[in-house]
Amino acid sequence: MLGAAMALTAAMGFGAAAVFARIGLQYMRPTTGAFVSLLIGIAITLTLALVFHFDDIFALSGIAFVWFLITGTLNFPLGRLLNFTSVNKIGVSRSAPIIGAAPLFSGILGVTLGGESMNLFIFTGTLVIIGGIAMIVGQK
Amino acid sequence: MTQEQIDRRDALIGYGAAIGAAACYGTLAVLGRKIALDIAPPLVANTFSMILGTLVLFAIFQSQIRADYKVRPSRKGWLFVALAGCASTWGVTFWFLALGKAPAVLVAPLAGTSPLFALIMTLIFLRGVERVTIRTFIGTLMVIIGVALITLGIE
Repeated sequence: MLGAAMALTAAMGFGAAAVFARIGLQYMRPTTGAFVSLLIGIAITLTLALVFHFDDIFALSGIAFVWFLITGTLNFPLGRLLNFTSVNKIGVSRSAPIIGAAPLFSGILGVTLGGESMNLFIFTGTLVIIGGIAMIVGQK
Repeated sequence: MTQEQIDRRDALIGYGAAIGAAACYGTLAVLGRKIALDIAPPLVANTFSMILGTLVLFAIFQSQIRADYKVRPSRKGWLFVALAGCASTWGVTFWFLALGKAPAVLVAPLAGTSPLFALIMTLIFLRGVERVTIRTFIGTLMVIIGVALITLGIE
């Protein structure tokens, strides 16, 4: 029950982020918006990481930072910037559901590269997501 | 270029960017799982990914960021992008906390309802700025149902 409440709280946070970004981006470019939002995020997560994982941080290997660079580049200069650009160009109501379809890409990667098998749930879910995105994109 | 052509170009960029962001986040979920299992605790991995990603972002777009800083956008602009950063971090933190308390098969579909919260908040805070149509609402519900089905299929 507590886990479910926390997951819904996470969803609320992601939803609010898109709406706040939409308002803020009326006054600056998506690049600057993404940069400022990341600085705030770093201040919060670095504090939490130092409090809860102080020893783990100093035990990190060199290769870990290569992985962090890959995921950091994929998530922030790419993911967040594209996210903010779409919010700025088409609005929250259209961009949020499309970005929310990210598990579709995880599923595609899992099946094509990860050796996972396509099953009825993944197949039906893919069709339903594509149908949903088509409904959003298809409107005038 | 006519206004209609500009609107069409903006829509194309917007939809392309949204699909690109979804592809990035989807790929990241696969990589993130490996990192959380083999390399570092999720909070540490997220923190250092954020620091390195921000450095890359600044290195590439520093001229735009510096230009915006010199123009000094209104305080409202700074405030709301800062709030967006807080809300994103809030989301990621609770996502990890939820994964510590419940199985991913429950957490992922529930966290996947974020577009619905975005729509509700759009109706409340962006009234007059954005229009939420019945098609958007149905499309959003379909995406949420599809995400839940894929999560069940993967787990």
